[in-house]
Amino acid sequence: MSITVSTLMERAYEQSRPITAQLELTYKCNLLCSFCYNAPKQRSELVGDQWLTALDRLQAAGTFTITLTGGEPFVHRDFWRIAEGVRERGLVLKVYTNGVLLADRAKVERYAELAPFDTEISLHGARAATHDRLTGIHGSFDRLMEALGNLSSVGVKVTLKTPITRLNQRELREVDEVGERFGYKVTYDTNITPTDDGDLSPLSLAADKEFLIAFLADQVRRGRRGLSPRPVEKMKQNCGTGRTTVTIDPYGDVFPCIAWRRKVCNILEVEDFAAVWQGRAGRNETLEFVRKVADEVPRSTLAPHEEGGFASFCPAVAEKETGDAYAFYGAARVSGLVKLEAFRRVRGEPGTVTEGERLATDGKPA
Amino acid sequence: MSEPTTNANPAELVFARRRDISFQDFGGEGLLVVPRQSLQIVLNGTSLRLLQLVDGRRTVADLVAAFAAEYDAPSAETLEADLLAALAELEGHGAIERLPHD
Repeated sequence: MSITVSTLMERAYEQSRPITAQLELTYKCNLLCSFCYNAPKQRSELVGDQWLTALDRLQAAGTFTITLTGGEPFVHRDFWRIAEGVRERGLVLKVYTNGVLLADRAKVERYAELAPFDTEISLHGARAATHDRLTGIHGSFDRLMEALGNLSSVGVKVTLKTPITRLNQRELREVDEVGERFGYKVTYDTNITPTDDGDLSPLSLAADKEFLIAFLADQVRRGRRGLSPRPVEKMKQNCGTGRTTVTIDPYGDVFPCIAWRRKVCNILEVEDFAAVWQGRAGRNETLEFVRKVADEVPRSTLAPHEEGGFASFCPAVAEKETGDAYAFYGAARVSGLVKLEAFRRVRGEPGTVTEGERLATDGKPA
Repeated sequence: MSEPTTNANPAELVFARRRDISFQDFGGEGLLVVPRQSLQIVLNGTSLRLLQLVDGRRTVADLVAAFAAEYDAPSAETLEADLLAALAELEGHGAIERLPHD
């Protein structure tokens, strides 16, 4: 049997190895996105030396990939020291940024020297008015376009991430064109999540269900994405929360993943983080709970529903929205129904929603 | 990627890891990431061990000796040929580079 990257990921899962770590360097940000999920606290954020200690502890536990995120990671005063620390340790560097500060050409040249494996940048629309409305900062779109030009010219790989909202849903074809102009792929996110402290108001920005069905079917027909159900009855786990993924917030608190804000420990208070993660330092109720949920959700929550295999289900969101990590919450169910319906349309099967079948992504008949 | 074509004795060649790569042992096999080429590939045990040993100082002869000491290896000639092929493959992926011969 040939060994694939997926095989290695399964191995990491079985060994509960936190191969992917997201470091939220700071909650400070130069934008004011209305749907931001961060929930800053009145505490001191970690400085460079403390993040380097965190890197050492993560690496000792088996971490391989570090994503620097925020807030906006580039506004952390020690960003460069931390990013260089990632590379000096031979770890894979990824950065999730709004891109605004990369309009500075010299900064981009310095960044390219770090050899980041991927740079994820949020693009909220194809037009300045849309993007700036969602980011809350006039001029942020123009700065982002400058940044993409800089990054493209020095050969840095970028993945553009566009959360689909009511505000940008009519210009997604143009968003694709923005990506094409710079040679970058756009990935769309149909899920808007509550903030980390449980505020559900960002959900009001979610796009129309009928629009999403037509959009997804269109993307599949144009070969821009695949769409098939996950084999939920056979799946060993819903996600890598608390096993292969770990998130550390600006205060050093460790969480099982970016979404689940149940504290595991504080990275500066545990010299042997590997022992905590592997359970050698005693029981950790958070890790035990989230791992159990991740293992059980595919069969207990998703498999009984026809749309379950298509659903983007996050147990952390389920818990935030309903108080029950196993609950098939509304947004997850809608995400499943939308993809199931799009799947049927692409295959030419009769669906349950018939209106808007021929809608293109600009909202006009195709 | 072809095998080394230099006139130097292959046993005297020296390779170094490129600074921008990352790799990790996943229990026998390794994962190699080469950002420059957006490449993620699985390394078999031999290539993983080679990548761990290649340090810009060891010659191919040193690598052959190290493998012979660690594994139940075939003849030195066969081992050297196998390692040169694996080194050429790693070089082709952009994971290592050949250092100039003194």
